[in-house]
Order: sequence, then C-alpha cells, then structure tokens
Amino acid sequence: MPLRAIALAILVALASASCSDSTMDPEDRAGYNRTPPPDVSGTEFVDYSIDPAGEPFVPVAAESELLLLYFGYLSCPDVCPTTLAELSAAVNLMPEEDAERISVGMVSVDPDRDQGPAISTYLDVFVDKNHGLLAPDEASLVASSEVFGVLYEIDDHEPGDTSYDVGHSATVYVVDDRGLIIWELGFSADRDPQITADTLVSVLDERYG
Amino acid sequence: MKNRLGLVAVLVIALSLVGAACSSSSDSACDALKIENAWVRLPPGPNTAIYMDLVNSGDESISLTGADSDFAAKYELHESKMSDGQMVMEMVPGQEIPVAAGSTTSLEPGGLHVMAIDLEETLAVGDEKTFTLTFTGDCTKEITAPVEMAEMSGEG
Repeated sequence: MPLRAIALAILVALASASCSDSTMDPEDRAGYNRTPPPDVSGTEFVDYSIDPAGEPFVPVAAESELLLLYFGYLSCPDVCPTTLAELSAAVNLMPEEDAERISVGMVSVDPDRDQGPAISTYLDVFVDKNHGLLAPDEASLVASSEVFGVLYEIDDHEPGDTSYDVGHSATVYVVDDRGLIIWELGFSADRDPQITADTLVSVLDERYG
Repeated sequence: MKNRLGLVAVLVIALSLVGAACSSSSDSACDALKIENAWVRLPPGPNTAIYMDLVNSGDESISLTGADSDFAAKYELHESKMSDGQMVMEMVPGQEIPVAAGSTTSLEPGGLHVMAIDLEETLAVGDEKTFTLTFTGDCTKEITAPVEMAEMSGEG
C-alpha cells in the first residue's frame, strides 16, 4: 500500500515538525487570564502613531495578531520603561513570523502632561509597530479603564504644575482580533524576556493555531 | 628644658593622631562604601531612573541622601511600590536610603531608584554619564555609568 505509506510518512513528518517547534506549555507561561475574557472592542482611543495622527483607534488586534496594551504616562521613570523594555526585548526574541504579529499600544492616563505625538515618539524607542494613544476625553478614559480593569490615580496639582506623581496599574493586556483580553502580564522588574517571548508565542498558537 | 620640649612634641603628635583618628572615622565609612553595577535608564520621557548596588563593607552604616549632575535639573530618591493593585512611586522618607554596616542596598527597577527629573539633554544607549552621589558624613562619590534600555547583567 504505497499510498498509505506515503500518507503515514507525511503524518510522521508533520508531527515531528510540530514537536520540534516546542511551544511553551501553557502552564509555564508568565501571567494569567480572566474568565470570561473582558471584551474591550467597545472602547475607543485616539491614535497618534498613524498617518494622519489623531485618528480614532478601537483596541482590536489585526486579523490573527495580538495587540499588547498598557496604561502609563511619559514622566514615569521606572515602572513604565521597565515594562516597555521587557516587551521590546521579548518581541526581538520571538521568531520573526510571530514578532510581526505583535503590536504594542500605550494609553497615557496623564493627558495634562502627555501630548499624543510625544507618546508615539516614546514608543518608537521600544517597538516599531506601536500605537501612541490618548482617550478622547476624561469621561471616556474613566469608562475605558473600567472595562480593562485599570486603576490609576493622578496626584492633585495646580494647572501648569508639571511635577506630580501618578499611580497606575502596570499590567500588559493581550488583546486578540475579536477585542477580547485573552492574556495579561502583571508587572515584573526582572522577568526573563525569553519567558515573555515564549508566552506570547504560546498565546498566538493557542488562539490562532 | 630639652625634656619639656620633648613632652610638648609628644603631646602635639598624640593630639594630631587623635584628630586624624576622628576625621578618618567618617572617611573610612565613605571609603568602605563602593558603588557597583550603576546604570542610567534610557529615558524616552522627561525623567529617568538611576540604579546601582550600594555595597558597604565597613562597620558603620551610611545613607545615600541625593545626587547631582549637569544632565538633569534635580534629583529625588524614590521607591516604586505596589499599592492596592497600582504601581505608585513614593518619595523615600527623609530622602535617606540607608546602607547598614556590612550590607548591600540595591536600587533596581520596580523598587528604590534615584529619579533624575527634567533631563536637560537627550540620552542614548551607550552614552556614559557622570553624576555625583551624596551620602551622610559629608561623603560624596563621583560615578560614571552607562545608559541602557534594560539591566544588562543576568540573563537579560
């Protein structure tokens, strides 16, 4: 039965190919998910990383891709750049065909100080495929952060005062092409970026096969 | 007469030794402090953080009290902390980061850091920046540290 033998050979080849791909066991991933996954496709931001800048942005990944969304602020010297540097290193460690399917967005919760184009310039340092985002207005930021489960707090300050502190959730939300948060990465100062990279590859594989 | 002169000389020498011993006690705390693994975070924003290990091999405690340089307008000692699900940045109480005798205090991402506020120049990865750290006991240390996007040591 030569045909059956060929079919068997193909099956064996396919199986060994997928084994050698060695996707991370979901149990070894960094982070966690919520059930049911929150649907953020009803939220809206303004994107300053596209041309023309200032177009509406709905946080839904492109088809078969993942959008990593983070809420922070530009004056943040420690936690925000630590997180973005980790994502930058992770994307660089991923196989190219997977890395191309990742984009990173940062929503500033500090619109008094952060101008849209500056958010985009900030992100350019870390990842090419980015979205520098602001909420259209304060009420919208409050509503969107509730959908994501983001907490933030801006210290009281006078108009024009530029030195005040901001507290914020430092979670990275992994959103799929339906606008569902299917995975989340909590803040870690010293997570190995390879683990983050393997986690993202594993989430891509599980979601899109 | 000769004897008395000799006595005065001994006293003068003894006193100067005592004086030397006194001033050298804070100097030795300063000498026993080494700054290791210092780096400046690449700051795409207006502020940045400086990290380091403060290694005190002496038998007296000493505290970091501040910093100064020509690339930022001012410096504060801060600590990032998780509080009710938010990362918040707090001023270090009294603006003193203690390093106990024989111990190491690490300033690292997500924790204690020297915050450089209102940067006066654009930094780039690979730059070497010089700044002065001030400690209790009139101790100062001039440090030159590289600008990095993330910590270089370890598996990173």
